[in-house]
Amino acid sequence: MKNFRTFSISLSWLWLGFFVLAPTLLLILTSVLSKGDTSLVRVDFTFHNYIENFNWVYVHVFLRSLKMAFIVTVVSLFIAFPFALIIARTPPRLRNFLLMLNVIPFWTNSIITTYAIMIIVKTKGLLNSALLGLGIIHQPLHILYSPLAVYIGLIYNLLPFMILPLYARLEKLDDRVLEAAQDLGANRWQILYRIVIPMSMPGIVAGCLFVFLPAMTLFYVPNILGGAKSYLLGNLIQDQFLTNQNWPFGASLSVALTIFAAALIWLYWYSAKNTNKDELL
Amino acid sequence: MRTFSLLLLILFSAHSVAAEKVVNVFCWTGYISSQMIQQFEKKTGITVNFTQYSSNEELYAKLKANPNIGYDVIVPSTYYVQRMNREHMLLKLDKQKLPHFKNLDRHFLYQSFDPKNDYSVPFYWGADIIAINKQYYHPESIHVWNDLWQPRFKNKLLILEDLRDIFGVALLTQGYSINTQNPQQIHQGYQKLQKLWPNVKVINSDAVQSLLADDDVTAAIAWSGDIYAASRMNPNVMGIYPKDGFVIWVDSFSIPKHAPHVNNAYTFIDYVLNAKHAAKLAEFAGFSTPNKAALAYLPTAMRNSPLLYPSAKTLSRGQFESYVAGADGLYKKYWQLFRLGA
Amino acid sequence: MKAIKATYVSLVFAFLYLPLLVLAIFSFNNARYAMTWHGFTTHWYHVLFNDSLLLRSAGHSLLLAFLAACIATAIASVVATALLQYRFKGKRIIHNLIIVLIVMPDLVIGIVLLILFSSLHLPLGFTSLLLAHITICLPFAVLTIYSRATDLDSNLFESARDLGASDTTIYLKILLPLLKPALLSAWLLAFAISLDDIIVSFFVSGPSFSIMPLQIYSMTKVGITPEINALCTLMLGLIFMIVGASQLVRKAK
Repeated sequence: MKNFRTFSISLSWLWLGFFVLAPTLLLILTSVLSKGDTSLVRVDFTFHNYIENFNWVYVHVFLRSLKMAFIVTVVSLFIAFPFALIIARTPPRLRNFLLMLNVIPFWTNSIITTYAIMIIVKTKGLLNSALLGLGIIHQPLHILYSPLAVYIGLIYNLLPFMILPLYARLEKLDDRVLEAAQDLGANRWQILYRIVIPMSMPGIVAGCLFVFLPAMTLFYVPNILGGAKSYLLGNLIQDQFLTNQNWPFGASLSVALTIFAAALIWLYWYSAKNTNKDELL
Repeated sequence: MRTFSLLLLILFSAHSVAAEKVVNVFCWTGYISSQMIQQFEKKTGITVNFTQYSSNEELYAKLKANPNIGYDVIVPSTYYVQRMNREHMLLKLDKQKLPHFKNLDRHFLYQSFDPKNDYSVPFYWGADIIAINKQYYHPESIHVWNDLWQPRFKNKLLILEDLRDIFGVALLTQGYSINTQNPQQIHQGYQKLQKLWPNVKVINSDAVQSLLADDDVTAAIAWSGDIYAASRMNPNVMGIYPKDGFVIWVDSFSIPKHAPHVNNAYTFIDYVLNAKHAAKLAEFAGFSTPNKAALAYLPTAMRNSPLLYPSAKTLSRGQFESYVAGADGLYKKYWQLFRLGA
Repeated sequence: MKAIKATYVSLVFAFLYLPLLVLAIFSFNNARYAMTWHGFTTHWYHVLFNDSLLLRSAGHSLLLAFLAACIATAIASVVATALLQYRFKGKRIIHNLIIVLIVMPDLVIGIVLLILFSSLHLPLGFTSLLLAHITICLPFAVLTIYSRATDLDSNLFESARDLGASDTTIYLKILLPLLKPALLSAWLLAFAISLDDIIVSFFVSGPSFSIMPLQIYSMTKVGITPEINALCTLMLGLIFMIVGASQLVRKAK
């Protein structure tokens, strides 16, 4: 360690090169190999796996996951936006307390929260017991193991991820701009649509990203709460490495997924850059 | 620098916890109780690292991906014993180290999947049968597998996440052998399964007991032991042995070839073969035991249960699964398509 | 208007907290499978404390999170310093690799590391888990420290160098003390990420080192026991304490 500069640069290269660059290259390599019968991969180069990605069956799973992720994102946004806005405008002391309350479900392990949903929506669970007891329904609702349970589970787990970036952005809203608008005669709704929402766009996009991508790849939520008809992209990829023993195909799906994720994130950078330009004006 | 070396020290000491007095057991969910594990640990001083799986495919995949993964005891089903043996993944067992081996029922030994039982020691057996909740359906109205294809079961069924077992059901409805390697027959089996899709609500192998007991599903293709255990919690749950045949399976202990703690593995397996312990476990799991000596220690209700120990006449309709080398890829392909709803 | 706002916020909080509350309450329920109240009992906590398997896995998780947080924070401080102070070949690549880690879905990270460990024939267990956890915590730790570090006055380093201090001295005696709050934030973040991780751990864990989320995961797949509720409630309590602690840290800044 004679030279800190050498040490720090080497350490950076070492760790990132070994645990990020190398495995990623290995992933891409695996995706162009073939599935072996008695071993995991066969050294037989082919683009077959990527072509398989476009097989209708898999596209169907992808679209189903996309649809589910989209609905989860939109619902979360609708719930989170007013929530974050109200909290951002509360006086500081109360605001910090409310923020802390937000962070706890955020840091609670998702298995625990998913399990909590499970015990509520079960046939003999709390929801049904309550509804039956109140006489609102006469037969228990079979929510568990249906797509609805997965929706509830995903929204519940991912809501904090929508709230926090929204809040971070809304907190920075300049009161003077809002006051000026009011002085100029704008009403509440106009201020909301014309000023607040556009100015919080980077926060909205960030929140959507933090919800949309996990909603597509969180396999344990459909595993615990979903039925046969909730087989999503995350489950498909997981299966390739577990039961199907088709690592090359799984690798190709993973690469496709990462490219998709990167494209979405690039959209975010793009929109953030544009919004910042407006702010400067 | 000092803190760094301290950290390294902690790291290595944590690692050397993987010392000699350890056994890594990888087993089906619900087969072994944590009480039994703790009992074993207290008696022998060997720490048990206990992990569970719910399908042979998962077991096979983990072992295949990493032969040195470190499992000492595994519990494959019949045809997987065959398959893993072919691929040299199993250790040849020294029966001298298993004095309680003699407790086992001859009936389940020396079968074609392991003629000398050199690689497997039967642990539980059972059958894949129909489970229904008689509060929702009339038991008399269901006799054969085909009955589950009826529209009244729309979105109601639980089926096991087990490729061969469920394919077996489809093949049986067509009158084919569950071990067929004929591509046309397999294809017909797949088409039959496609027609079942609208009725399928859940595909799951580990939560069967609680799902049946809690009315989350009211009809299922399930393992006899799970159905028995569910019926203990919910008397409305019952099992039906279909008239057109069913799959009989045997899950046995094996030791992987590169097991790091072989002697501890033998100790563990022999401990479980002990009649009293085997009976305790069978009572816990609710499954049928191939351990003849253990039968005497079972509660009477279990021993006399026609669900767990059906008559020879009923059992004669059952088939054992064997490894279908040539057609394995085909089965897997159709199963994946089925899972995707295609 | 204020009443509507207050109601709305309360409703959302109710949605967020109700399941956790139910979880905690039913850990005291005197019944095995029922969802109806059968009386108060601490029986399940006794069962939990006697279940050495579960406790061991909980202990493993805490140990893992502690070590991963320490090592990740240490490495992150070095990497952030390098990015901050030096110009070197491939700096862009290092920067991009950190971004790649953030962009990659957890699922893919888990798979990518599994492939790496398999090709190296590294047995899956404590080591593979630790390396994986450090890797996923690293980008967040680097970002936390780096963003704080850029606020520091670069004149400080100039003057220190002029006075003859070596880079190592600057790192140890100037940067680290000044960045204490950022280091603590990074540590807490890394600790929480490690404790919370399920997907990456799922792929790179082995039989000899079970961790709590995976243990609970396999238990929930079997069914419900109040024992799980008891464990979850205790974990919730722990989270409360950690979040409370981090709040105090923020106040102290």
